[in-house]
Amino acid sequence: MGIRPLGGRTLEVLSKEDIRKVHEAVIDILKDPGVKVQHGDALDLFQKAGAEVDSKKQIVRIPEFLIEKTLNLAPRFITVCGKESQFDFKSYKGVHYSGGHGATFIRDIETGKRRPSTKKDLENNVRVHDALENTHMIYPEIYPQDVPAHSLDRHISQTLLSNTRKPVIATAYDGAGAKDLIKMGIAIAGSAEALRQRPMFTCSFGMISPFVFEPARIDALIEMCSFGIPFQIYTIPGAGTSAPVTLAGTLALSIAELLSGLVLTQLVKPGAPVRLMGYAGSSDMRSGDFTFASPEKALMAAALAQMLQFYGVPNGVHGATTRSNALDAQVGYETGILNLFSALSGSDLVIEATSSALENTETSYPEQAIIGDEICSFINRILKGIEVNKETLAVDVIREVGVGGEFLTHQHTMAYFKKEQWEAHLGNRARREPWEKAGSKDIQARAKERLNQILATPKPKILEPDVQKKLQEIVDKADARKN
Amino acid sequence: MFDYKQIGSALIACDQNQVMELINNALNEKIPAQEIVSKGLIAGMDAVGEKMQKMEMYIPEVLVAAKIMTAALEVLKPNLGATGIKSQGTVVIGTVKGDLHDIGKNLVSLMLKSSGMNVHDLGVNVTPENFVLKVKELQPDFLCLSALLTTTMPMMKATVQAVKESGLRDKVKIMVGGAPVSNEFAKQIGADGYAEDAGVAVKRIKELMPSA
Repeated sequence: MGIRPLGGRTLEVLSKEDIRKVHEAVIDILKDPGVKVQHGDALDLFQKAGAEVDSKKQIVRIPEFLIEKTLNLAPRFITVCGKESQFDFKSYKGVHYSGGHGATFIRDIETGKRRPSTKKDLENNVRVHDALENTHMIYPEIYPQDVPAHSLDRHISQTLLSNTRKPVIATAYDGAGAKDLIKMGIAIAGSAEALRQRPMFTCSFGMISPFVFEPARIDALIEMCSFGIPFQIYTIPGAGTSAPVTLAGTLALSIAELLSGLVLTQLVKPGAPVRLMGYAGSSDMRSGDFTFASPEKALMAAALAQMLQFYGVPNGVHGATTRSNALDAQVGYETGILNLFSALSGSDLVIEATSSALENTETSYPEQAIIGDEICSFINRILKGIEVNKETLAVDVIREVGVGGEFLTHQHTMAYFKKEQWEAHLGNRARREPWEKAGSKDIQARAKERLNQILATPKPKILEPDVQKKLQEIVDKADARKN
Repeated sequence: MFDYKQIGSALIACDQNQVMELINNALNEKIPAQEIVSKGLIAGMDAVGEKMQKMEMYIPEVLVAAKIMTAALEVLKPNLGATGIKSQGTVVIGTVKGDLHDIGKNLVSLMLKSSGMNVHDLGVNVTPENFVLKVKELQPDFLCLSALLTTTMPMMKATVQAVKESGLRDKVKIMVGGAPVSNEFAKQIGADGYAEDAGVAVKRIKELMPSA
């Protein structure tokens, strides 16, 4: 799990000079206009640490020294644990993948009709990702519409934690939600100390671009970081609406937002593990919509990864997202190109990489997750690069076979072919006739078969009945509280 | 005979000087300010909305047109008399609880204002209770709900429900919008209408406007 792309020679879309210029812009932006922090305790923390705080306007201007200081405090790597250690996510191991985030509709596998998504859909989605080789962290890819709005975060966290052995990105919308999430974690780990030792989830905080920290989410951040749960800060500005239309400007704004979030986590708890996630994209100037798939998004994902690696912080960027409203060729090229670009950039976590969601992440087409897994597998081979040494150059073999000979029967071929060549699991490699005999199935049909296979296997036992009961009690209590 | 359509063309061209010149010409021709507004500016903004829908204008251009319209109204204000502009209807608008995004909502707000509506913008993170309170107080023709996040879409449903429970549901039309929202979703939660963008929002509201 986790691959260093091309032996560490990651894709560099920015020159060293570019990086310096972006960095200087970031420092400049954090000084003025600064960020808006709608939270008294957080404002106090910034003030005590030496930032210039306007309590009335809730504006924090962050000086360069504070950014440097907190960057030094933040861990260079993060670990989020699986329920089994074989699934532990360790950021230093290289590029990892996850599914997507927040689809509210689903194309029903049985009926083929689009409908609001349910908690059962989320459960199935988690089970599929649990089985997929290239999903390393479990995101709430589906937001169920059949649970109360005020306790949605508890339902999501419960479903994720109950159906996978892999590390989870759980949800908590406010302080109370965060407390409940920690309670769930303690119930699963056995004790608070055990949860701190092996946290099986992280939790995200989204900035509102440009530069606004939401108070309820700050409460969640403080709970999580104080307790010792790894935390994620993300920002998703749209170039042209919530950020400058120029890519460089959006990049600088994104990084400034992310670093301001990192500063806050370190002020809450020095050394708190935190990952910065940059999802910047461009806005469609005809509709104002955020565009999840565009060449600019690929460039910005790679540039964000490059900047965040420059700062030496754990990081994540978007991969395979698509604007297509049908499972068609557009999905293929958008997800393929975006995933490859983000993976080559060397980010620790390419999110949306194995996502089942189309339509700007709004609708889950369950079979697409299987296709995403195949794309990541394909990309992994590219990331592994070309091994060049005496054995692989095979000069002796070439001489031995000689002019006009063949390599197929040589033992060198036997020894290396499995290592050198990637094998398709889902993509077609058959000639036409055998493919027709097997039913002329396209990739959607084959993905659907694999999906049904996964869902037909007995549900793996994840949590003991008494732990399940504890989680259910937390959810029930949250349901019962009106708003 | 003053050609009102010229004002629309100048708005579409985002040409502020031309709009101002046309307005001065109209005033010189002793055309009542009220008519310049309704037949010139508001009709012109309707044309802008249509262009946007036909993908012949980009959002930044539409916004410039709306700003020119607002500036033109300022110029006409002294001539409008005590009654001001005849309101085309009243709208209460806001982003639902849990959601602090407002760029799209502000755009709709601006477009509605520039089409002659009386708009009360409640801002972001508005609770269902607050929406109900404002509907009670202002008795608007429309309540417009915005959400950007898929996570806050359920709050739209909760808000519609709160309006129902307050007994005001048949007194106000409810419109919803925002990136993840769809017509299907609007129907599902019992809203009266949905608009995919700010141009359509104006059009839809005019279609659904209870005739006085």
